[in-house]
Amino acid sequence: MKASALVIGGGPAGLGAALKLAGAGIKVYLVEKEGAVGGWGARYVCKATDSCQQCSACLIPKKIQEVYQHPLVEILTNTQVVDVEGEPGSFQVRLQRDQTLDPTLCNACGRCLEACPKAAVDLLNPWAVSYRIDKERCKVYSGEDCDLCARACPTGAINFHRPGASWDLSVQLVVAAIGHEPFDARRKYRLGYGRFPRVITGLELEEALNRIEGTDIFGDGWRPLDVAFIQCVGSRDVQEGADYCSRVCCKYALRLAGLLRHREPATKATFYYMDIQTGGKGFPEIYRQARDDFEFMRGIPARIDGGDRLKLHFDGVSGEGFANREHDLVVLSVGIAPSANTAEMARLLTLNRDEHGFLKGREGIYVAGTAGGPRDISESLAHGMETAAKAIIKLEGREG
Amino acid sequence: MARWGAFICDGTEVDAGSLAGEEVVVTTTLPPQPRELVCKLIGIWTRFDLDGGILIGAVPELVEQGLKESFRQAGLDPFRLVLVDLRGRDAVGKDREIKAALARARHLEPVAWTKAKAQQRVLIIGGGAAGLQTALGLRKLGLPVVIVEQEQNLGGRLTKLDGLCPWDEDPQGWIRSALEVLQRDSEVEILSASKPLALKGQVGDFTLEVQSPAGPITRRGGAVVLALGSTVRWPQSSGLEPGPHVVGLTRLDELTPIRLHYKKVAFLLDVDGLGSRLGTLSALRSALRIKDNWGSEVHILCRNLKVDGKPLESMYRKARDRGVVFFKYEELPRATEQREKILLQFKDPDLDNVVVDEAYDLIVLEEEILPAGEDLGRAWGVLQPANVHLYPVETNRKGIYMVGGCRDEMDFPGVIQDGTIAAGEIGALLGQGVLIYEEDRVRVETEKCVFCLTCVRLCPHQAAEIDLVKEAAFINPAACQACGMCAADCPAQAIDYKAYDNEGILAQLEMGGR
Repeated sequence: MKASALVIGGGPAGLGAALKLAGAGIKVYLVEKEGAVGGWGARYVCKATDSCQQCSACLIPKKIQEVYQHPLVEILTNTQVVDVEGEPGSFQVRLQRDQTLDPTLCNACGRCLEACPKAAVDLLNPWAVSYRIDKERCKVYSGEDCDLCARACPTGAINFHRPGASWDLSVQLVVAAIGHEPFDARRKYRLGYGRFPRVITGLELEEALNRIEGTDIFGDGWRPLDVAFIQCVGSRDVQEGADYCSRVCCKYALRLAGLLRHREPATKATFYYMDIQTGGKGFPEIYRQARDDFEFMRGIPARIDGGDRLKLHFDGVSGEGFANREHDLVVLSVGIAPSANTAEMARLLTLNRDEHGFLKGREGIYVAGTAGGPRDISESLAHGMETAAKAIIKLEGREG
Repeated sequence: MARWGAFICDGTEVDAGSLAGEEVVVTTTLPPQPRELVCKLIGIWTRFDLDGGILIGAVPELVEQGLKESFRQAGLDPFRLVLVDLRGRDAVGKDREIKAALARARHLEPVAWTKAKAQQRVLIIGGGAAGLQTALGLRKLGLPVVIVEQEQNLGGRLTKLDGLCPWDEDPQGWIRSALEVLQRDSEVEILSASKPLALKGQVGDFTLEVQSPAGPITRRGGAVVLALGSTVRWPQSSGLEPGPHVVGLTRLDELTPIRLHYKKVAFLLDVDGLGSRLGTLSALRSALRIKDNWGSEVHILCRNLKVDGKPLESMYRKARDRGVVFFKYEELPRATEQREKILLQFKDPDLDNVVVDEAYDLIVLEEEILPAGEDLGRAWGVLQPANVHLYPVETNRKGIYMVGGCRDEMDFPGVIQDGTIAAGEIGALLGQGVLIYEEDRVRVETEKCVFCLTCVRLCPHQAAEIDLVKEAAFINPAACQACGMCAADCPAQAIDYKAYDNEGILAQLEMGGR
């Protein structure tokens, strides 16, 4: 009998693991709860200026392409794992799929998008092969009656009355690549996120810059010229139970500032930080360039007040003691927190969690990527590949 | 008369009637599922004995690689198929794209494929943890290996240093058990006290010259792994020299006999450059050990504290809780020698920039960690360039891999991860013993070539060579990765790049295609 594996999560770690497993002749079921694979990374912007900044965002479409073409990888979007039983070498898994939008029928023609009054159907990321319904915005999911998209669809891909599917699989091993959640910046009430529109998160800046060509990030003609990046939001924070470094925020913040400046050379940026993490391939050069181009202030604001210009209050910043500073736009460099369904997945898969809430693997169930702790795109991909390589060796050992 | 097929993905709402022409002999709609699509496409192609075709769809790039592979397996030429992506196009745009693709398709030429026998042996340069882990992984996949090590003993820096490993693993123990396995294995050849000299050939068939104690020898292999490790450099800008009160972080263990004199110890990090995770890790470990074993007062001075690794933040907190004092500096501390002590003077921005004066019995300096063997890599034209698609272990040259400390600053688990991945990649490359590549995708027209060497200089993959007999450049098809740089920049336009030829692209642009 040929071996088979369940990979939970279609982000970089899941893609890497699936490709490696399939490459070894193992049938892979790649389960993704969203409408498209790619994970958070597929929503990030390429941060190249005149030269490549090595942010790895471009790795994801390449890997998506590879999994779509691999005959041994079966991609199951809109699908969740609801039950897992068995032991290493023989797991029985129950999957459940929401079939309101059938991705095998959708050809991304865009009629549904034109018809929807709430803009609740969209492509999750630029490499999605089918549209998806955003349940937060869709009227049907808040109990209202509406079937405009279903009526507009020429292929019958959308049907709100189509029941969900549920079926069982037998697999030899499971890779939990369930990913992470960006830290919820609203928890830092004093930093004003959710209260002042010009306080945004790094992720929102990523997505905005991915959508547009220039720096008109809110689409209202206003362009930020004096940007403050606040580092370590939700990282190295004992109060939030996150006394770990998220590894990625220094890197994306400096690169995003570089991209803003490349698109609008008049852009000034200031970094408020504790320690800049300078490690990682190619990053020391980026940091040195940033020290020439931008201002670095050691200290995190205690409070931010709104207004035409945002006012940042410090208890101490770069040796100045109490200080106030003003900026146009504040970008909170939010860290990596355990995914919202980590507890649920830990229960389903009988996994332990570490002191910060990230998953720890066990025999037969492997944890890959940010599910196990902070990693960037290329690290997650490499970790997925390595995890799969380990699993293959273990599996072959058991069979031989 | 050429025979063309037009393949339309289901739901793209293209009017098939508009495609009718003398060349288009068949028009068909394809199902949306990638596998079914490929089956139907190939079936029709074969039945109608087509010369070429266009595939019209919403996201055809998603199926491109798989299609190519399936075409080749079916004995067809994948370069005779032009893909048309209609996403985001209105009816007029769609029509224009399709016409443009047909115009380009008329210029397509057949591309031949070659199967070449590949050597299965793998040549590993460097017998440290990275090289050994790669060897272990390759042996599990059944590939024979040769390990070339400059030193008499294998194991590399790990045998001398434990600061790299704060996890539960025991690196020395790991090296011992790895060597036990490898030394017993008859398919593992270990050449110690040997220096690699020259590398010739290309993926599937490399020849390595080695200076061994017994004289020069050569070994052939299908792939090469550079596992050259790292080296350290004394931080020059500190103005300090090694002595009784100054020592490098990696030499700290050598001080032990006179340790009791050191009542007050400072670790000075990030001296030259930016410092490293590895240095911080080692400093934190050593600081705690000195505090516990010697009872000294310990300070750690740095520009930025590196905490972006799993144990780092918790170790930093632990050290702080145990009384290790941390200072930060923007400008390098001024060091002066003073009665058997070294005085450091600096400003800490977190302490409102007041000047701190501290006298220490011992200063431990963080050395800069540099990749080893850069000269070897340069000589062989191997680099791990700023191309994330080559992460983590591939290089610009097909069949040559870089693992461990020679490609990035890396701790022990990172090195093990690299070796595991490299073994897997090489297994997939050489496992079948056969390499398949496009034989004449990129071709030099000998009579046009003026021997200017532009392509040789430009080629990022070392695939452009010179043929002294023909007095012309030659693109080695096994090493070529079809990036097209040589064809784009050849001043004599002597290089043909099939499927992206000038005539075809111009025809497509003239018709308004993108």
